[in-house]
Amino acid sequence: MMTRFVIFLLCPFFTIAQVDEKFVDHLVFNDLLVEHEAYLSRIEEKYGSFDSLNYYRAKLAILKKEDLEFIEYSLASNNLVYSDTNLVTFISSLFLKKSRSLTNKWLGNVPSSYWSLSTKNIKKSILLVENTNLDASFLKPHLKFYYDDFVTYNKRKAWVAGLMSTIIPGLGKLYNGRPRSFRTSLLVNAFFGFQMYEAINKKGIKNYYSILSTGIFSVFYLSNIYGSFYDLKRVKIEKKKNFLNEVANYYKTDIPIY
Amino acid sequence: MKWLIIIKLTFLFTSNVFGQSSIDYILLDLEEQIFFAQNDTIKNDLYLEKFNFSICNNLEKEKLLFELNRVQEELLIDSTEHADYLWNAAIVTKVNKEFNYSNMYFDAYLEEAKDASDDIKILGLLIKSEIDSAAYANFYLGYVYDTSFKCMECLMDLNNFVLPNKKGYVIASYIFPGLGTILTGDFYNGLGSLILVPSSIIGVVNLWKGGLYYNAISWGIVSIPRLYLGNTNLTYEKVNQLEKRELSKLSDNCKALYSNKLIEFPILYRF
Repeated sequence: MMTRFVIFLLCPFFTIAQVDEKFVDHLVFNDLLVEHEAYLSRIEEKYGSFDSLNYYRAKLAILKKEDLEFIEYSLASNNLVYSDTNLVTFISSLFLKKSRSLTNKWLGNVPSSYWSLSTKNIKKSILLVENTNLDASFLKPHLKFYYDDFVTYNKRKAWVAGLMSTIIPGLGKLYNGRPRSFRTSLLVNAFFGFQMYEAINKKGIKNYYSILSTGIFSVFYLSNIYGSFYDLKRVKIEKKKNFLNEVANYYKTDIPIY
Repeated sequence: MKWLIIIKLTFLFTSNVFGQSSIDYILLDLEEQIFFAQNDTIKNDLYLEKFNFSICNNLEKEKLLFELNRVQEELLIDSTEHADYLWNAAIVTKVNKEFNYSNMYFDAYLEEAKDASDDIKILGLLIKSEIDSAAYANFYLGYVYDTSFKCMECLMDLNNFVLPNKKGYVIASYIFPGLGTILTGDFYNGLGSLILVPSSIIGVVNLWKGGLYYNAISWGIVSIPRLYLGNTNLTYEKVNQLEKRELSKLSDNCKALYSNKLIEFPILYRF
């Protein structure tokens, strides 16, 4: 009699402890974050923390854009978050758009047995930008284009860009893949170069105006060499980001998390 | 068996009674009722209840607007409830700077309530002043027409305010680059332009005289239009800034004028 009594009392807790998925969908559809948070908190207050609740809390953290909170709840969900391969792929691509280290931190927690093909490709793409000697044959043609672009510029040397700008002002910018910047630099240097030439030719090198013109030209000429040298570093970072963003966009498309 | 059921029910519902005291939990309760509601009328009543609850608890204005938009006006049968809804909707949309919607709700309220108490007059003037001068004038003549509300006419002045001699500042800068800037109150930038533009012209002329033709032409093309037009653009921006400052002063004065009216007849939500 006592056992039956206890079972009878506990029965509703087990049935109600489950999260109502349809109601959660309703809250998500209407963007009701406050109610969503309250709903999950109320369940936790009543029944304590359990795996599926942590799974829903993790997904709520995504909606709230709380990345670290998401990782915490994923860890607490006892692999339930990781078993949702769509979610793992979605988060991997979402984090990849934000930061490579965050993606690595996240993927470091996910056991590789839960990785979908897309997640594996995201990880491989991260490894590719860290070591370009790895095999890139898994990349789709669209991504291969961005990867090749990154590899091409990654091989280029900053001192070559500087040297090219020394020979012809702006040529280093062209080498860095900035044709518009090349034209501007060439025009600006030509503008001040001719001024200097005319001043020296007509007034002599010791004339004040000639010295001033030479000074102005020198500033532009040298800053262009310096700019070409450092610009290549920026270009390399941009190309790397472009490639990883494209990877993130490619694998993120049309994955519903709710 | 009877006492078993009583204990079971007590276990189930005591936590509901004592645990959901905060606003978030009440919002959640209402949302759950909405979700499980069987028909649209009940659902709509709950939407209205949630909207009113959100207003009562001063939730953020975006949330109020969201809850307002969920209520289906045509399903509100009770005329008092409907009128209160329109009144609250007019205030919420006004707070959210959705002036056209605010005007629409307010007109619908006037149509429904056929009331012209003082707080309605004040809200009406505040809303109509954001629409246009004709709407304001029509409302004033049709519903207000009371000398004690004369102080609120400054709302219209705010809408129609244009800085006196606005073009004069820019024209002054066209004639003497920098003069308009000085007149707007920016002395140093204006003085800089007053010195720079003539000096670059003198410099270019001297270069030409010295036989440095390429230098004269290139500096002339690059520097003079840049400095001259740069200053006129600067003057234009400074004039706009001056206008905003003046408008802000007027707005403060206007608020001070009608704040007594607002204290006397505060605009409150209705339930």
